[in-house]
Amino acid sequence: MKKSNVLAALAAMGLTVAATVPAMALENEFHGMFQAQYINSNFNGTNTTSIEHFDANNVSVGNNAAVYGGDTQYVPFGQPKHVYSANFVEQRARLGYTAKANADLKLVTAFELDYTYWGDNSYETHRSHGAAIGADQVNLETKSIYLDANILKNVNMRLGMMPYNDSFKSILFDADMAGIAFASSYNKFTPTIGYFRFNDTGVNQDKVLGHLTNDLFVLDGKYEVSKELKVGAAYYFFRNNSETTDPILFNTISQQDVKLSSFGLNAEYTSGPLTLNGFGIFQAGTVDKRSTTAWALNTGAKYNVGPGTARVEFLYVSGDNGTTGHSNAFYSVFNNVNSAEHGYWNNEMVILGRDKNAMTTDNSIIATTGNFGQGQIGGYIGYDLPVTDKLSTAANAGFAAVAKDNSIITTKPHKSNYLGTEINAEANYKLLENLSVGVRAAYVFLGDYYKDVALNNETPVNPYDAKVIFKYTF
Amino acid sequence: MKTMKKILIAVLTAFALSTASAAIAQDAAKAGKDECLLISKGCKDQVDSIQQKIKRINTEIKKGKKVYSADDLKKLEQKLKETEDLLNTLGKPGR
Repeated sequence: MKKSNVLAALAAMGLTVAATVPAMALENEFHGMFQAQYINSNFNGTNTTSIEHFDANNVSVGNNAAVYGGDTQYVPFGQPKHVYSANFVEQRARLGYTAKANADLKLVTAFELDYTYWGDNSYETHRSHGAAIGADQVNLETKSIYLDANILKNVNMRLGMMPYNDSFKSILFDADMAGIAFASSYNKFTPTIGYFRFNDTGVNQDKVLGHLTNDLFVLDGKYEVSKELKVGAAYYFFRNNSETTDPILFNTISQQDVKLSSFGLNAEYTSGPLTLNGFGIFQAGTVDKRSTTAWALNTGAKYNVGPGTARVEFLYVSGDNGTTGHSNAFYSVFNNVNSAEHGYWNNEMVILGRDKNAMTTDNSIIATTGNFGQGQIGGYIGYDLPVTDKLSTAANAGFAAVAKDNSIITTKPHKSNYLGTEINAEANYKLLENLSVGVRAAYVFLGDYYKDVALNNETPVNPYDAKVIFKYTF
Repeated sequence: MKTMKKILIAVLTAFALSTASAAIAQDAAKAGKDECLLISKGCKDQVDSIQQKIKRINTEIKKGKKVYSADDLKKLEQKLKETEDLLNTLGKPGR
């Protein structure tokens, strides 16, 4: 080719590329949130929410009160009746970056930087810490990194460490987990199939990876019967023979033996101002060498009444009053450091159930669905009242009991199955676009489950929690 | 002279092609479609907060079938769900 022809070709190509660059450009998307909250409580950040931990050799490794503002569960057993109130400020930032090649392909990442409480420590390497003077902490947490691709028409694939939750208000699992999930859509039918690996402890046990594992297999389907009615069904298979957290005594790590099928149905019906929803789950299989059948039932309703919305929730989870023989204890997903990778936030509780505003400090009376194998029975009511465009308020009450008392923590039967009654209220004000300040306070009248369980057979004082919350999302 | 003519033809052809692409894009814009939301085109100057993005998608969905095809609307609804899921993930409680 003559030099001039080459020049002509290059000039033409240059113009063509210039013209197509905007169409091919990578779309970079950054989002995130910042939350800081002042907590005053005789519950969070105190000794009554810290369980003693044991390593694989059953040697005590202390508790987590000073590390994570508590250890997820209310455990006033054998503790002094009166508790000094804790006062501290907790802080969190989350940053998310998505690299989108086109409408069908993107990489999604999310990171977190936490301070459990201002003043915790500095100049160290420790997740969720670094708020002591000087800062300079190594504390970046990677939440998720996954590929999201529409690999075929109507078939979406997610591959990697991703946020994933069940179709049952998160009472089974709701966490970041590594795996692969395919979702599809055929008119009104939306099926999903997935596989996730929670833990692989082969390297600790027999130096072989891949067969001493904790895994989940998912089959899930939703069908839109009409605009008003949606129904769904799911099958989850849990298989765990890794060295991980015991599903009942979840402060103990040991070799597990779980092969459990969970079948569930869910539905949602909307008619005018009324929304009704609910689900039923049945579990059958083996958990820790015990044959297990367990179940959970839920109903929920929302009704636009007056200037606001009234809410009702009910949850029953089967329990077991023994630790041997056939079991009715409900199984949900845990991680390897003693906290629930699931929750039931729809009840809008602060102390009785998991708090929607909780960050690293995340304690509750019912912290896990199985509730130490005891199950739960709970009724919850609430009302959301928007006052102005900038001010919104809400109030809730909850009533909860264990389904069966197995006295697993205290070694002696409780005076009643009734755990307590919670009342809480909140107000949120929009200070600026995307920045809000809120106040939320909660108080629990303890039930007789806790009668005489404190030190010297006294009854613990009723727990309370108050927060002032600043939240920015972008 | 002959060489110059070849260069001119090649350059003009490329220009014509790029102008045609721009014309197609303009047609889409004239139709009132938001191509950034729909097919991730022309997003380079757009930096939305997550709330603005949700608002923007809702605005486009409201334009309905006058502007968007049924497939387009399905894509926008999917995008809305994805963005709302992301907002929920950002604010998700717990450790």
